[in-house]
Amino acid sequence: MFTTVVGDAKQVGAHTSAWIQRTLGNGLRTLILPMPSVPVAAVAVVYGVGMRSEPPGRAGFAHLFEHLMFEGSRHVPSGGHGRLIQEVGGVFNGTTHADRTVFHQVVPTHGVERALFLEADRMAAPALNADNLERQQAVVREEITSKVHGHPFGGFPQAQLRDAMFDRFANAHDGMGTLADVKAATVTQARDFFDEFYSPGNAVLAVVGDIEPDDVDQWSDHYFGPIPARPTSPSPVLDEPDLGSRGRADITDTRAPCTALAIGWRVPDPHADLRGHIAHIVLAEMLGGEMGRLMSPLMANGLVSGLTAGVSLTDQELTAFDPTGMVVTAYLMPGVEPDHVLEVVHREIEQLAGSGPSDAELSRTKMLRRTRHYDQAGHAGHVAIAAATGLIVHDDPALPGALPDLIDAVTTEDIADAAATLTPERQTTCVLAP
Amino acid sequence: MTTPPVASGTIPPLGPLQPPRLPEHASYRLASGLTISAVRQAVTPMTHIRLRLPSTGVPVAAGLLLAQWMFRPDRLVDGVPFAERAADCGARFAATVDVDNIQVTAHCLDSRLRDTLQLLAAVLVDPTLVTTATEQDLAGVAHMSRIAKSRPGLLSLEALNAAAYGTHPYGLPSPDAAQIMATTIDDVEALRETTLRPGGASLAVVGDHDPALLAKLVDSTFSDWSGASEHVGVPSVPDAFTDALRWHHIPGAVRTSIRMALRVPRRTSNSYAALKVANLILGGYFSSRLNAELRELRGLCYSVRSAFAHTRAGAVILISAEVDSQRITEGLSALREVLSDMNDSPITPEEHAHARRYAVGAQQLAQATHAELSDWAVELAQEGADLGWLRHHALDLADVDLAAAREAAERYFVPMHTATGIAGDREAETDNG
Repeated sequence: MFTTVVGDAKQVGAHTSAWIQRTLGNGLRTLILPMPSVPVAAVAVVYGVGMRSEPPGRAGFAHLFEHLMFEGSRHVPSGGHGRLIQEVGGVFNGTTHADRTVFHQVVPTHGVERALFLEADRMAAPALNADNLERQQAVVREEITSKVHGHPFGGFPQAQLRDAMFDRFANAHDGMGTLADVKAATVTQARDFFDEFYSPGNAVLAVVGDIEPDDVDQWSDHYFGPIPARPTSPSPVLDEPDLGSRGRADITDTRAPCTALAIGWRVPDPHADLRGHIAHIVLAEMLGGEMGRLMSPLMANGLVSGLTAGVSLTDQELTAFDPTGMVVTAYLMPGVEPDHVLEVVHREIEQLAGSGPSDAELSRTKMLRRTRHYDQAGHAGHVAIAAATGLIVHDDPALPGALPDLIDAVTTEDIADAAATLTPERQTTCVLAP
Repeated sequence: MTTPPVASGTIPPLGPLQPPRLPEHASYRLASGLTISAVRQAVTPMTHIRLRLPSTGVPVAAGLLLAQWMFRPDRLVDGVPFAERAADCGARFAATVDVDNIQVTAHCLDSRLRDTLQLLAAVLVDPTLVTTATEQDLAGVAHMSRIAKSRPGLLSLEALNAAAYGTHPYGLPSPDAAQIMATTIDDVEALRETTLRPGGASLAVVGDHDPALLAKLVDSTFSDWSGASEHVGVPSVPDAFTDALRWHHIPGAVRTSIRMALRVPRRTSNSYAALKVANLILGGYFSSRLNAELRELRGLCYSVRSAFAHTRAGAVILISAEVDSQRITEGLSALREVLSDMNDSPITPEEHAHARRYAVGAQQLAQATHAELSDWAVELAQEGADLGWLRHHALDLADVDLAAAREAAERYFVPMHTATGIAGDREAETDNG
C-alpha cells in the first residue's frame, strides 16, 4: 500500500523531470513547466542576492531595493507594475530572503506576456532616483515599525537566534534592517547594488501553468534577450566555523503575552551533505510535527501552548546556502521554567539518538512531510519560485520538487545520526520574556 | 490618486481571455440531511475536505473547546491514537469555530480517502469525545485565548462586533480565559450532542474522484450518523449599522487597529457583482482609493483594505487599517472621507474598467487549487448555491457597467451606516500633543 501511495504522485512527480531549461545569450536562465490542469500561470524571477549580501552599515538594503523594483522602470511609471498586473486580475509580490530575492506574479493565462514584459523592463532599467528612494524608505521604515517594533515576538526567533549563533555580519544581522540604516541609504548605493547583483546572469526566470512553451520562449527572447550581459559579483562569503554552543541570550519584550524559548543548532551544508541535511528536515517533523515526539510531553502535559520545529534558521527548507540551522520554538505556559522544557527536549532527542525511530514512526513522519509538499505543489506560484530558487541555490531546478523522493530515502539510522548532533554542547538558546 | 498611464505602444497586448473553466462537480443531499458537494480535480494527488456544522449562538467557550478537542491527537479511535490513524492516511484534520459554524478542514492522499472519511465518521459519532479532557487541557486553551486576546487585530474586531450587533450572537467576543476555565466537560459534551449532526451540515470534497461514486462512498461511510443540528437558525441582523463606535484601550500600543463595517447584500443577490467592483475601487485591491489616500498619499498606515465577510445572517464589507497611534483621529476621518468620496467623486470610467478587469481575472485565480475549490464549495452550499455559481458570477462581473457600480457605491458606502471598533492607545494623541 505504501509504495502505491508514492506512485500515485503522478502529476507532482512530473515536476522533477519536465522542466524545460535554457540560457539566453546574456546569461539569464529560463525554466518552463506546463501544468495544463491549473487554469492560471505564474511568472517568477529570482535573483541570487539577499540579506546576506548586505555589507555592515547597510542592514535592510536588500529588502529596500526589492521595494524599489516596484517604483517603475524604463517604460513603466512608479506604481505601474502593480497596476498593470492588477488590471488582468493578477497578484504580485516581492520577498527578500537570506540568499535570494523573489519577484512573482500569478495571472490568468492571457496576462503572461505582460508579466514577462514587466519583469524584463525592470531587469533592464529600474527607476532609481531620489523620489522613489525616499518613498520606499518611508514604506520600509513603516514595515519595520509594524512588524518588529509594534508586534509581540517581533522577528522571533530567527533574528534573535542568528544574532546569537553567528559572528559574521552577513549571517548574524537582521535583514529586516534598522531604521537608521534604511534612512541612510542613497541613490548611488542603489545603482551600485543594481549593477552588482541584478544582472541577467544572476537571475532565473520560471514560468509555470497553462502555457505554451514555444510562446514563452519567444516572449523571453523578445523582452529579456536585448538586456546586455554584465559581470556578476561572486556569491558573498558566508562560511564560519561551527563553534558549538553560544550559550543563552535573554531578551525582554514587554508586549509578549508569555515567555518563548528558541533552541538553535547548525545543520549539515546541503551542498556537501544533502543526505544529512534532509535527515534533519525529517527529524524536525519527527520532533515538532503534529505526531512529533515533543507534542505529548510538552503540549499534552501542559508545559507549552505552541511548538514548532524546522530547518528554518535562515530561510525555508532548501532555499539557502550554508550556514543554516534547525530551530525548535516553544511558547511556555505561565510558571513553566525554560530549563524544564529544555530538559524534555534533550531527553527526547537523546532517545532518538540512542535507539532511532521505529519503522512505523519514520513512515508516518515521511508521509506527513510529503503530503505537505504535495499540497504546496498545487500552487503554480510556489512551483515556479521553488524551481528558480533550486537553480540559484543548488544549481538544480528539480531539487525542490524532488523533496518527497529525498525524504523517502532517509533511514532510521540517518535520523539517529542527525539526532546525535543535536546536543546541549552544540545548541544556542534564546529566551524571550515579558 | 492614480498612477499615470503607461506610454502607449510599449505594453504588449493581452491575449484572449479564457472562458471560466470549472471542474466536473455535483451536489447531493443525503437522507440524513447532509449536503455533499463533490468536485473532481487532479492537480495534485491530494483530496481536500471541508465540513460545516451550524453552531450559531452556542456558548462560545464550549464551542471553542469542542473544536479544539475534536481531533485531539491522543484520543483513541478503535484503540489507536487519532494522530496515528490520520498520519497513516497522509491526512491532517483541524476544526475551527466562528459565529456560524464549527468547520472541519482536512486533506489526505487521494488514495486514502476511504480511510480518511471513516476516521472522520468515527470522530463525529463517538460519544466519548471529551471524557479524557482534564483541567490541564482547559488551562491550555485558556492560555491560547490569553495570547489571542493580546492581538490588536482580534480586539478591534471584537469591539466592532459589539458596536455592530450588540446582544445578537454575532456581537459576542471570543471566550476569555475565565469563561474557558468555568466550562465543564459536561458542557462540551452537551454541545457535541446538539451540533455534530448531519441535518443542516455541508460536506465538500475536492480530489480525483468520480462525483457520483464519491456521494455513494460518503453515504455508506456516514450511515450511522443521524439527527439535525439545533443551531441552524440565525436571528436577523439590521439592514444598516448606525455609526456606533467601540474602543478597546491598549496602553502604549504603537499601532492602533481600526475595523469598520458596512452591511451589504449577500452573494446571491442581483447587486452583488456591481458591489464587488465598487468595493475593489474603495479598498479591495492595491489600486484602491483607500490605499492611495491612507498609505501612498498620507503615509497613515502600511496596510489598509476592504473585503467582504459572509455570514449566515448576511454579508458585510469590512475595512481594516493599522494606523500610527498618534494619528488615530486623522486615520478615522480619512476612512470616512474616502467612503463619502465614493459618492462625491463618482467612480470614473477608468476606475470602473480597471476594477472590472481585475475582478474577472482575480475570480479565475481564486479557484485554481484543490483547497480553494473546497472552500468555495462549502461556502456556496451555506448560501444554498453550488459551484456553478462561479460560472454565473464570472459572467455577471464581466457585465457590470459604470452606472451599476456607481449605484452600488452610492447606496451602500454611507459613513453614517458604519460600525467601528478600535483597539490601541486611546491616549497616545493627547499624551503627545
